[in-house]
Amino acid sequence: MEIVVVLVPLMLMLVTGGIVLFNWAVKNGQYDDLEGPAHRILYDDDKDRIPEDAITGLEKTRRPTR
Amino acid sequence: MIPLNCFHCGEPANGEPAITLLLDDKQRHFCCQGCKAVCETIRREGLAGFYDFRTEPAITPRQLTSAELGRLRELDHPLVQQSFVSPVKAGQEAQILIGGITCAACIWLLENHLQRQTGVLSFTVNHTTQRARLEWASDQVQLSDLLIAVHQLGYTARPYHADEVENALKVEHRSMLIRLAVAGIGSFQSMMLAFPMYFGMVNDLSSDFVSFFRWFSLLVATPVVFYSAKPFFRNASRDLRSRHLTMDVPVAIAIGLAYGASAWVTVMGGDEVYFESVCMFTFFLLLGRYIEVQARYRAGLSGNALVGFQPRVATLVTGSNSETNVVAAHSLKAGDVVRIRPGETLPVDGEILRGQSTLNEAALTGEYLPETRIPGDTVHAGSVNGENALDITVVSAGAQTRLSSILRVLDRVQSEKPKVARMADRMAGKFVGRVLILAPIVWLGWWWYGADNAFDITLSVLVVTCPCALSLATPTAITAATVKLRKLGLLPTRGHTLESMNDVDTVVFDKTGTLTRGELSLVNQHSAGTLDADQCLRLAAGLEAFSEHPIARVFHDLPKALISNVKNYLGGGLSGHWGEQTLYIGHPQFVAEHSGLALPEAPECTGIAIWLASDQQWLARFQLDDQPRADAANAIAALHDLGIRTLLLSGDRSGHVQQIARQLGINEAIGQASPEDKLAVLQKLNAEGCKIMMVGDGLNDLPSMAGASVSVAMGSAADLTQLKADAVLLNGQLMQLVEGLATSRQTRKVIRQNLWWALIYNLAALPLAAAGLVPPWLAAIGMSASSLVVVLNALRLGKMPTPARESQPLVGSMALR
Repeated sequence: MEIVVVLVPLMLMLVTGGIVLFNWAVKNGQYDDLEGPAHRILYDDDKDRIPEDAITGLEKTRRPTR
Repeated sequence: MIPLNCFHCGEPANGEPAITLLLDDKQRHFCCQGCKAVCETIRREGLAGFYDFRTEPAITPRQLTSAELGRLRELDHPLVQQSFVSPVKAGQEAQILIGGITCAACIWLLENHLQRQTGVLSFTVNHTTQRARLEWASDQVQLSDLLIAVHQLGYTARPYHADEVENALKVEHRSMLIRLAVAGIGSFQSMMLAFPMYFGMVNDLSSDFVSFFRWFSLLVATPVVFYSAKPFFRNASRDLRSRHLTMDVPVAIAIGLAYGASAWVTVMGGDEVYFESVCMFTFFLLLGRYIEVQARYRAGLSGNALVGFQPRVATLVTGSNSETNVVAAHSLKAGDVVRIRPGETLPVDGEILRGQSTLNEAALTGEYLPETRIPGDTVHAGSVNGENALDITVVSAGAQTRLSSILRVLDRVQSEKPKVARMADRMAGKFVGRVLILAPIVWLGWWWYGADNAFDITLSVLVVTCPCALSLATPTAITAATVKLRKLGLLPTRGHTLESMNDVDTVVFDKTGTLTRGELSLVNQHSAGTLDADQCLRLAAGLEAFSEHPIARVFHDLPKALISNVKNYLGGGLSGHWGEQTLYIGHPQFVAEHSGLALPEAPECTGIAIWLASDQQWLARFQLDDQPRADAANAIAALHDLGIRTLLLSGDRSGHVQQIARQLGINEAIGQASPEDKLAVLQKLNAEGCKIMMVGDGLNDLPSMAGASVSVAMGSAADLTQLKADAVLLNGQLMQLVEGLATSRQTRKVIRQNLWWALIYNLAALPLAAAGLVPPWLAAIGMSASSLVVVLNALRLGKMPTPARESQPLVGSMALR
């Protein structure tokens, strides 16, 4: 039971760290757009990460040109 | 022949010759070269995935005229950039408002396209607000090039500068979120620390441990009380000093007392501590406040403080060689000469010195047709120059212009409007007063009775009756209703809009741009000569392609014949050569004068008659008119069904006013009204006790809009009108006004239901708490449960009406399914 004496302050310090990080995230504008991330994960823009030998047919034409 | 729709924007694509493009081995059709150009750009950059995962058709892109290009280039000037560009580490940063976004795929397209341009450090678009943050290296690329890149895809880009009100709202919103997080985490931790002592889970808990847990609970609850709950204390002391009893007073007392008593017990020893109740209480109340702040923040976002509705710079002409420099607009004095280029907005009132052009004074007078102005004519700030450059001698600048005086009238009328008292605050005030009297009585009663937990019982009374549900009742309902209205296209921009819409019994409409589309369209064609109608139309389109006048724009999208040697006669028409014939098109007097033919006989027609003739014969007459909106008649009928009186108030001088009123079935129509006349009519109606909703779109409507209880600006209105209105009708569908009024009435019903529920709960719980049957933690839980009921009830408002509109044509990959 004495372990509680160590655990409780430890946990409070962790929680304080969490709040500090949250504070930074809010001030950094990360909570201004709550709908964007939901759409962003569905974007299909990793075609240039597909290795050469894996693409077939149609995808060849979709390669971005620079 | 199957009617084809444009692959890009969904509009009918039946031009001759067909505009097509081979995309992924399939022939795709487009309605215009603009759509095709955008599609080619998209394909070239490898972004054709756009067509696969978009969910809405794109808007039809518009070519940038040279005047618009010139205005975009102006944005590179350091004086102009001062207001919306700020330097960052590697370059410069600007906020841009993007128009034309229809779904998330548009944002994907824009971000990818812009990020490929040289010199762009970062470009992100916010999905909620459709504002973009652009960071670019100013030594590698100019801002105007990047804005042109946005236009290349068919979207519009305008620089944006947040005003102080919005910045203040943003700061409040962010700090509220952090307070909420602290309160939430505080409740978790203090609950965890209090749990062992609730149910005696750990037997033989030595007093050392009890003291240990209490001290740490104190540590956790302190930031919650002093940081998260600060708004309550601040509001309570402010309200007490102004002798108002609002809901914050008992909240502040309860939190303060509970925390103080528990701290005392921790230090001195005693029976109970209430830290977890304090934290949970603060958390749930803050949740209600956060929802309210969120709603106000969202509403404030639409008050766009756009750069450029009043020009900040002007081109000063100095010296005998007419050199020009760009100076700040507020430094102009009477007697200076400024040059106004085509498409520019006038920054000052003045007199024309050199040049003649057509001026669009829609912002001031509501007339959408430009007037010809020659040297010696007076011109006003806010008008938009048409085709030729003008040199103007300044007569009044800055605060002395007519535009500024209209705005001053507006501000004065707005400040004299009585504030709408919030329903919930009024009810809560009475309730709170009674509770505050009751609480000490309960305490005295129990103390006299000899119970030793009198204080706990009093605390429970305060906590249970604290109108948590009451404070959530209104904000949740208003938020749900606002979200629903936004989806329909009616955007409330002020806090009181929804509640004010309830009492409306009269709706006053402006004519041009509100009930009508505000632009000319070809209504009828009458052949007078030997050429067939189709050929006449092509000839007309070929001639009018060389003019930017609104009359000419009607013909711009039609198939054209090739006309050479076109000359543009200001205020009259155009002439050109087709084969060996000379053709003339324009007002009948102009055509008669130039072709030498006698004025033709023709039946009377409404609207504007434009004649086409060769030098031998009259060929055709085109009838152009400003059509009423498609749903205007339905909207008027629906308003009458709701029992609302309708009025048409217009500055138009012609008989068009009476004609439109008859056509749409409006109760009463008044034409030829100046802005002051309009305000007088509204004030008379106000004196009769009517509650007015005014729908308009021009600056000339502004003062009268301020006289109405609720003012609605059309989405196509001038920016300043949208800024000052109480609501904006984004898509111009008048039926949504009816929907908005119906929703407002429903919202009031839901708010009433919520308030009744909160009251019943509080009245039922009060005797239980006074009798000592409710420990504080149960009081907190009970309150949360009642708040949940209130929120769920409010969510019922969010149900959308079944869509009655015709389905849009399917575009892109969705057409393949």
